[in-house]
Amino acid sequence: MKRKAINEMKMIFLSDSKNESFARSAVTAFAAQLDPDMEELADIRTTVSEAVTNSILHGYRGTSGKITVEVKLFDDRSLRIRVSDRGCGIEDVEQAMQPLFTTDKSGERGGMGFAIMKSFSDSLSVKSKPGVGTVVTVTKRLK
Amino acid sequence: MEEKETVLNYGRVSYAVGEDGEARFLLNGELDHHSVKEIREVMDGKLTDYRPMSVTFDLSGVSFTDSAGLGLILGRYTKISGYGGALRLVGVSEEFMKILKLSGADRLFPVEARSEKRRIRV
Ligand SMILES: Nc1ncnc2c1ncn2[C@@H]1O[C@H](COP(=O)(O)OP(=O)(O)OP(=O)(O)O)[C@@H](O)[C@H]1O
Ligand SMILES: [Mg+2]
Repeated sequence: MKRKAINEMKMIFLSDSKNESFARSAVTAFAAQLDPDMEELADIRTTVSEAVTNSILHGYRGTSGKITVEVKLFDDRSLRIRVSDRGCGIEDVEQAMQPLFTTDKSGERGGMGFAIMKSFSDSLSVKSKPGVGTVVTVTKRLK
Repeated sequence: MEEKETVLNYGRVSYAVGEDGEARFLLNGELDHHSVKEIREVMDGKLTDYRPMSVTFDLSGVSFTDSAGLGLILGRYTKISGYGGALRLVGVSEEFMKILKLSGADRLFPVEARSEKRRIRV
């Protein structure tokens, strides 16, 4: 039997770092409809923060652009979160997803964002095209 | 060190230094890419000025941490161990403990979990 979507939302906001906190609060508030436990809620919050921060920091690199976050809730207690930007895109997605890999030169990044998103969800897909943008999709099935 | 320490408050981070030269940073609120910039400046200022040899980061007042918080800690760890000091983390939430373990950072310095009664309510 195919899972059925029971609710969905979409929001678009600017690539301002103040919106990192806004985005994770908005998504966790929406996901609360599925009645996640504390750990699941914390995993969702962290995952959204990683994806949105990447769009702001790497995708738009301090320039102003729009970030779209879409969330779909399903009748089998799973949810899908999609974060998209029209930023610089990623040359080599497979390499970018390796734990500890970062293009940041400041020494202030652990290169752990994708590894965290992967570990805190059930599936992670990254589609990106240099010069076009990046779409990160995660799904998570709640207990 | 609780008794004889001087506590200085700088927004989301307080700096406590004991008479024995031990230093403690108390972090508060959310540690993300947006907030770490200002916290990093305060911490680096103190570390550069005083070069404390035994440093504790107390995270029991932190309500959220992601990879930017991990980056903040790893960056300060590099700085502290660079001049021969030692770092330890206390008051670590369950969620951040998962991130520390995933990155292997829990093998670089001692890490102490937050106790039940001090856990931050959300
Ligand atoms: N939305 C994006 N647009 C462009 N490049 C991206 C995007 N997301 C990730 N990247 C690239 O992938 C790399 C790895 O991302 P990841 O989140 O794993 O680590 P990081 O952001 O560099 O460090 P950390 O997340 O630990 O602070 C980044 O350094 C960056 O080069
Ligand atoms: Mg990242």
